[in-house]
Amino acid sequence: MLEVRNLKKYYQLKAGIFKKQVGFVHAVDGISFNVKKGETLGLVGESGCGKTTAGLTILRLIEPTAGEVFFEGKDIFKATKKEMRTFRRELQIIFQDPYSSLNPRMTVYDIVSEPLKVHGLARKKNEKTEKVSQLIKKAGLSPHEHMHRYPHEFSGGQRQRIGIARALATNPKLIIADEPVSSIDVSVRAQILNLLQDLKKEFRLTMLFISHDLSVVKHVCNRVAVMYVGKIVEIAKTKDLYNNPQHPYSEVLLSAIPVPNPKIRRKRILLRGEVPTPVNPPLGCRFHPRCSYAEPACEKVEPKLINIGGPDEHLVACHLRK
Amino acid sequence: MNKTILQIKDLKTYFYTDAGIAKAVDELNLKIERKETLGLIGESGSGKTVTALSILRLVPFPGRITGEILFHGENLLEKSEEEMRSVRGGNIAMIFQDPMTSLNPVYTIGNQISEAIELHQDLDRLEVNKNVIDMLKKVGIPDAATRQRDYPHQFSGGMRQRVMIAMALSCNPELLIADEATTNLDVTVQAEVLELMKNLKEEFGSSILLITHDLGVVAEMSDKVAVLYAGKLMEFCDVETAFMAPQHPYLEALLESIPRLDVDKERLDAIAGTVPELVNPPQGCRFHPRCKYAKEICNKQEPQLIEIEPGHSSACLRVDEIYH
Ligand SMILES: Nc1ncnc2c1ncn2[C@@H]1O[C@H](COP(=O)(O)OP(=O)(O)O)[C@@H](O)[C@H]1O
Ligand SMILES: Nc1ncnc2c1ncn2[C@@H]1O[C@H](COP(=O)(O)OP(=O)(O)O)[C@@H](O)[C@H]1O
Ligand code: SF4
Ligand SMILES: [Mg+2]
Ligand SMILES: [Mg+2]
Repeated sequence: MLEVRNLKKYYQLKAGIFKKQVGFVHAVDGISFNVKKGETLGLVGESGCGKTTAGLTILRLIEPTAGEVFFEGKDIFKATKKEMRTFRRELQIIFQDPYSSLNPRMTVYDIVSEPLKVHGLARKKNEKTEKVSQLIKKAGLSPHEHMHRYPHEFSGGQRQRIGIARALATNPKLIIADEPVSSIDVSVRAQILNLLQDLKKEFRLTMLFISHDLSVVKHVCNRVAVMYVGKIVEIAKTKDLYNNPQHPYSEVLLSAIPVPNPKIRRKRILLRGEVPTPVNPPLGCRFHPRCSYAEPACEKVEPKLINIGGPDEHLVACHLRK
Repeated sequence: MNKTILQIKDLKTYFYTDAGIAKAVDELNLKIERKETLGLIGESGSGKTVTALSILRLVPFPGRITGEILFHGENLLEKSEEEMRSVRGGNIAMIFQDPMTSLNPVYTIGNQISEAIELHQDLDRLEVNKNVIDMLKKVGIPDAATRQRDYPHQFSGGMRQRVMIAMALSCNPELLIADEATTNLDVTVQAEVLELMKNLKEEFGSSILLITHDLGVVAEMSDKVAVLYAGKLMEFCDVETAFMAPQHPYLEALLESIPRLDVDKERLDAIAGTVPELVNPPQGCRFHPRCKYAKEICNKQEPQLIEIEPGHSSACLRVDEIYH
């Protein structure tokens, strides 16, 4: 349904009082993957690896540096204004921070009805009110009680429900959820995850689920792509990745997660050094300066993402896996 | 043989706000033993930070503290401000979630650690400087001799957190309070910092009050667990019991609501509703509006924390009916 090919986004790096351009942030540096109809693909990795940039670029909310993105076979980056309107309706985004992604001066009604207005989906007033209250109900809020209130009157979890109602307003086919539960309290997180699960089924949604929380991703996603400094290093079915990670970085990442079971004492792989900056990423395999398996080739040649899983597709970019 | 290093008795920290009295911490009783890590958990607004600030007497206006906070048997609430200054960053050190709030941006890292050391130890300049470099090395800062001349903003988040730990531990505190100290770090960096805290506890024999909402971190690090909800201590027990056989509906529900790496679940058992506000908390048991076991009595009578078996306390009116 969504196919991303060799997507790149470089930000200009400026410095000094004259804001001279001194280089590029290689935030997303040639990533390829696809999201199949009806599935939830997880995009994981540590902060700064390029997850948000990838999401925003796919939706063309920021302009790409290179690459192609096909939605149902049509190239989003080559779309005309008119085609872009359709894409904007069919692809929606849910943001991490429900506090800053909602306009504080708009009521819940205004927020949820805005996309209906923009896309001409409900022309008559009563039609619009009806639609909005339906959406609010679906997101687990009460139209009667909540429709005419402002975002600051809600808790974090409820604000995320408003964001979800807004995203669903255009009846989208694909939703990109960027850390949708990361800033929500633990006890309320489950409510939002269950809500997303239910709505996904009801609206037959396809989802790209961006998160740094590997426990959440394991629960929500069918397949998972792991990013490291602007590159995808591994893509596999969730079970395969978690039980049998093939990339050394995925292995480290999974071993680092504390498990809520004091009887499980896991062997942890500690990393040396720090995450390299995406301004001057290491040559060869970007993970090589920190990888305990690195060979001479890893310093020079960039490994390609190849399938080692046969029909089950387990893709990995590492010289040790062939 | 008194091994207790910190004992909190009937601690009440109330904020007298325009909207009313927020009972952020209400009748808290807790103990931390020597060389022990106590995990203090509860979602945001449950009073974890206020508890930590109360111990150090750093609660801001309009907060007021009553009760007793016994550190080696001496009540910290009766000490002079001067005496408290030498307790802070000396016997008791604290690491916060955001290290920038406690690092001074205009001094080098080395300067700040030296100052912490000089405040509590009588050493000459050379010795102090040697200590600083040793400490930075110990927390895994590469090239410590050079990097001590850098300013806080020249360090990454993970490195700053290590500097904080170096600073906190440079005076061998008997009690380290870590308030969401690894919450903003990436998991691989968190793993290193946790490892570091474990090692230093072994080496210096410090006790740790570990505040976090991450149940994984608590399971990994703690010996004992205390669960706060809306300012009230709901359950207290050893870590295995907390995760294997909790005896309070809140902890039970919390454990069932989280997605976990070690358990597969079709659907999470979400807890209904949200955390209450503290100015007008629910009557009776503060958890009753969200509790799946709640009966009529729960909104009438306030539960007391009772010891249900040695070393295990729970504040639930129906604990016997539910768990036996
Ligand atoms: N608008 C921007 N200008 C310059 N650099 C940016 C911008 N947005 C993000 N970056 C940089 O791009 C990299 C990737 O960021 P981001 O996509 O937000 O990562 P993630 O979502 O995985 O944490 C980071 O190094 C970040 O500092
Ligand atoms: N400066 C303050 N003024 C008024 N109330 C406060 C202040 N600081 C904390 N509180 C109250 O104390 C409660 C508990 O806060 P806190 O200890 O920070 O929770 P936690 O650390 O568990 O997230 C808050 O919900 C708030 O009601
Ligand atoms: S006292 Fe009642 S409401 Fe509170 S936890 Fe026990 S059963 Fe639930
Ligand atoms: Mg992001
Ligand atoms: Mg706090």
